[in-house]
Amino acid sequence: MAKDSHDSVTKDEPGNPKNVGKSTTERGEDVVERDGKEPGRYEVEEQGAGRPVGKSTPRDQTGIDPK
Amino acid sequence: MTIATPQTKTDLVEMYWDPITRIVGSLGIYTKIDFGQRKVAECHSTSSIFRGYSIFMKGKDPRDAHFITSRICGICGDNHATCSCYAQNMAYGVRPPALGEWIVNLGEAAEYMFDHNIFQENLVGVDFCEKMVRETNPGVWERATQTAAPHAGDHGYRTIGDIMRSLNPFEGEFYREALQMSRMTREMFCLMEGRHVHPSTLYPGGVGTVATIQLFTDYLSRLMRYVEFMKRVVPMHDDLFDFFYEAIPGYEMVGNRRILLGCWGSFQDPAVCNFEYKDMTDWGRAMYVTPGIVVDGKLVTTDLVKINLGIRILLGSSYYDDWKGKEIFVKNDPLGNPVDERHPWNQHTLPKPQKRDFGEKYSWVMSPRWYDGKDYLALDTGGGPLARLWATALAGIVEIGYIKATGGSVQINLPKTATKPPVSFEWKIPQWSNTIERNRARTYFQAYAAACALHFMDQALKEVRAGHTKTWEKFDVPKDGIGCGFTEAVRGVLSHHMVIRDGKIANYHPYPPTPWNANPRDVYGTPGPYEDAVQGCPIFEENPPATFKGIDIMRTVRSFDPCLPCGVHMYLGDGKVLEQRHSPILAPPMPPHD
Repeated sequence: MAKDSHDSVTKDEPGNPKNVGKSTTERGEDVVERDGKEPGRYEVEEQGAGRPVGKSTPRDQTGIDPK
Repeated sequence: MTIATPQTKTDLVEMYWDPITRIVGSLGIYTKIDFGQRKVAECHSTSSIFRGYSIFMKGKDPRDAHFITSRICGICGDNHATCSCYAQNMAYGVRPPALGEWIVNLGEAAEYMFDHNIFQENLVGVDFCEKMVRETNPGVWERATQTAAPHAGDHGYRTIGDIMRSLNPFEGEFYREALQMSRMTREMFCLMEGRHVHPSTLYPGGVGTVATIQLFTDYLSRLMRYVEFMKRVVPMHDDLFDFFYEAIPGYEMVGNRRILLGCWGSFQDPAVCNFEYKDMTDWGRAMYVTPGIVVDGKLVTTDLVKINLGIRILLGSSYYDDWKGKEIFVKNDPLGNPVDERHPWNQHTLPKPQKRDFGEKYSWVMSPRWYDGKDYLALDTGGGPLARLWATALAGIVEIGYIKATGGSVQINLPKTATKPPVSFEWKIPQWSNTIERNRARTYFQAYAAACALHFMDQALKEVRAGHTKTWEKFDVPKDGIGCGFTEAVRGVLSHHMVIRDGKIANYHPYPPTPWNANPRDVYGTPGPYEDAVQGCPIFEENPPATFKGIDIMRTVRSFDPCLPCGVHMYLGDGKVLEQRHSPILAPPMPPHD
């Protein structure tokens, strides 16, 4: 529970809620940070307003490494 | 419920409707009606439920913001999630892949198609159905049965009376067909964002949706059915609303108010939008619904930076203590412009519950205003579509084939569908900002959203065919930062302002459309839009005071598409939730839950 986390930032001031803090749910950015990019995906040149572009190989379509 | 209290020596009668039905949330309209003059003499708008999001967002993980704020509403939650993601994208400096942006746009277009449809046909439509018109204006009903519908060939209803009959709740043919359309458009949303109305695949940085040809084909097949539906719905509503002007001379003054409209823009263009505040003027103008403020029929600005800096949250008749002198979170925006103490970035929420007193405090809704450098303007949203179409038309920027803004109108070009040829509609800037035009604009905007979705579909499929499969980009949450998101919730302007400190939310203020529309008199005594539109409204209902339904007033309030569920959540701390259930069958209330 978030309220037990060391990241709890409860402030003992009026107008502040109790037992809040860092989310305990694992997020996509956490997974990428820990495990790296998923196999079969790669980046190509940005387009538009600096929008990232990514493509994928057949490896991305399966959980089994075809090699 | 209507309570009538005749006052002595005058024809003034106090009447109130609290809560207003066929909307969501707790809204009360309190009036004094002059039956001698046949008009509303005075109106107060009140909401009796506290909205506490700005308080309990404090200290939370910024990445949770869209999941939590989505729960503000059970009908436009995805608008909040989207707006929150826009604010987070800015704060984290992340740009979703173009394909992710098109998917978000397709989801939001489906939301507009769904929500406007169900509100217009199943809730507003009842105000114009046979049963309601018979009860309130029997003379008008008689005339309707003898008036041929000018576009009968397009929609299939021979007379205006036939249209009204088809709108009868639960049994009318069109009423039931519209319910089916609502289900289908929700399916469209779910295809793009996983779940409606609280998206499960929408995050800052893009979406988790797996983009395949099959996914878009499933969406497109439903979209084309909706496009065909629109080819009947738009002319049908034109016939119905034009009939009211014709049958009841002077009806244009019902719900009429000064033209003070605000639109924050909708649908990002990934070719221009980089979510950086410094470029917000440019990417705001590239949105597929142009942001803008329209005053007395003139377009004051389309600049989102200017719009942002002009927002002021005023008190006056609201149950809050003033925050003057409290901490300023954002002194200057990223461009160096000063940010006012009453701007959402700097707002403090200090609730002060008290007895309702129409001479003093009488609502939990604060009074948002837009400061033009001279006046604090009580902008309304026109129920959403009126302001959107008006600003987009005047700006004359949008041109995507399916849509063309001409400077005085908006052309909507719908392609051939299963049984109908291509059809073009043109929404022209009306003479009034009134009840009928708010409702008419809603119908046209449904077609607008469908036309935009066709464009987004083309763009998304181009990406997929080019082999671009990436829909999401990773990001880091900064230790300190600010962000703001602007979009259009279904019923009008929506902004989210966030301040991050030490990696946590220090201040967060969502401003949905209903506070802009439903607010009470501000500190300067300026009434809110509902109050302004109802006050002075002529009464055309034929019933005497004893059986008066207030249909002209109800039509006016509902034309704004009121929605106040953003007030129903209250945080008590220690994990305790206060829960109160209202049972329509008068069962005893459930005990509070821990």
